[in-house]
Amino acid sequence: MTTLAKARFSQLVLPRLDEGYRLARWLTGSATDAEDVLQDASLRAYRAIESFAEGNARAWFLTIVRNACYSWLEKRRPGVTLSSEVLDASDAATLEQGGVFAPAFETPESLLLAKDEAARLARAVDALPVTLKEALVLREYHGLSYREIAEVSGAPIGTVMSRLARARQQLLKGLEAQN
Amino acid sequence: MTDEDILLLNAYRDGELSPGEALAMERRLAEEPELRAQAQRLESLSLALRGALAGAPVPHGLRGRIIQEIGFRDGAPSGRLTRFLSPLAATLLVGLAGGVLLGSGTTFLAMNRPDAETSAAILSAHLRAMMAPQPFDVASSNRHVVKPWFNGKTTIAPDAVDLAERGFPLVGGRVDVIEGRPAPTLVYRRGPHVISVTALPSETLASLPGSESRAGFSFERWTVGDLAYVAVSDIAPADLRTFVEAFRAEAAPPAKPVN
Repeated sequence: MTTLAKARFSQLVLPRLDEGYRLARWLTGSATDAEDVLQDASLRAYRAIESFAEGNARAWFLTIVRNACYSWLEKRRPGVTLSSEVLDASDAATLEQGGVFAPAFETPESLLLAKDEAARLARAVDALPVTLKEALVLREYHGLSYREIAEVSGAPIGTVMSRLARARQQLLKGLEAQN
Repeated sequence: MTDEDILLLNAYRDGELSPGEALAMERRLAEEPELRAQAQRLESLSLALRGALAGAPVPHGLRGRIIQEIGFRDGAPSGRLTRFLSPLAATLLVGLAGGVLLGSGTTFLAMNRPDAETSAAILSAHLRAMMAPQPFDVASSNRHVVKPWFNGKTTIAPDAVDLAERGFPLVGGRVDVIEGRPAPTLVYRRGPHVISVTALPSETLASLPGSESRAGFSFERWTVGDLAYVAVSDIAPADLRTFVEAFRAEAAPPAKPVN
């Protein structure tokens, strides 16, 4: 690899590692796996850096992280990356709400954790289907516009819009049910 | 409330509606308490989410491990290389320094070192502010609140321009201590990122305007009138330059009448 590639990597990717890590953290739902995924994504970004011409470097890197998360998820839990838009209504409901076997809080530890507002919210986010989670995190944490989210997740803008609305409705419903 | 309403309300809050649609939504919000209540719930959810999502701790040393994995280091050269090179480097440096001192380069050395120290002090102040529960001492998006707040706390009155329309809302101000002197600092936001803009007397800095990056943070230095401004943030350098352009455009002194 050339010095130029290294310089571009330092300039385009290194300052974005933290936000890339947090995207991976929320999409994989695990702090340790997120690190592996981010290492993989950084390597992919480095190999592709010479073909990245100009434009939105942030969306470009986040797309790579997102895709790395998806391949990781497909390997670990086949089917989990299914978008609920391609399923029929009842399957989509099961996917989004977790079906009958989705206990909200089962152990004393998780009950204790749930007392903490932020931890409770984090758990609720972790429980979202990955397509909704991705739209939510890119919007609420990364502050991307609908157009940028559509670019990163490869979905039409209308889908991004409805995913965001559904993610928030589901969080509100879940949080209120616990109160 | 229909699903369509909820969809529109979300898009409205995200600033993604066309001006016409946004206006219609504002009218409906004024008239329909149920919709207003939903908007409020979304607002507090959004606030809580931002905290929770950004709160996921990034593992210590992640950056270093990735750099190692890629197989190169940025910044300091590796220890072995330094040890090998140091006697050689010292010899070279003595020669170089002698030459520089004899030549006209003296000013270069004398003036650039304090800039680096000032940047380091500004970065420390920014980082310290980010560790606090909030990165400012006075919370206000109103420039007419933030600017007078500095009175009596510092001897400099910075231009507290409001850049909300350009996507960088003013969120407040604080006083940092840079090289033993209080310096007013304006705090702006860009999505989840915080931008600190510290104002200093322009003679404090040698190279103006300029930009640099250290530890993943970007710096921009510029002047307006007789004040120097230093912006520091973890946003992309290009975004920070956009911010500086917006700031300069807003803070530009009114053109003098020609006569």
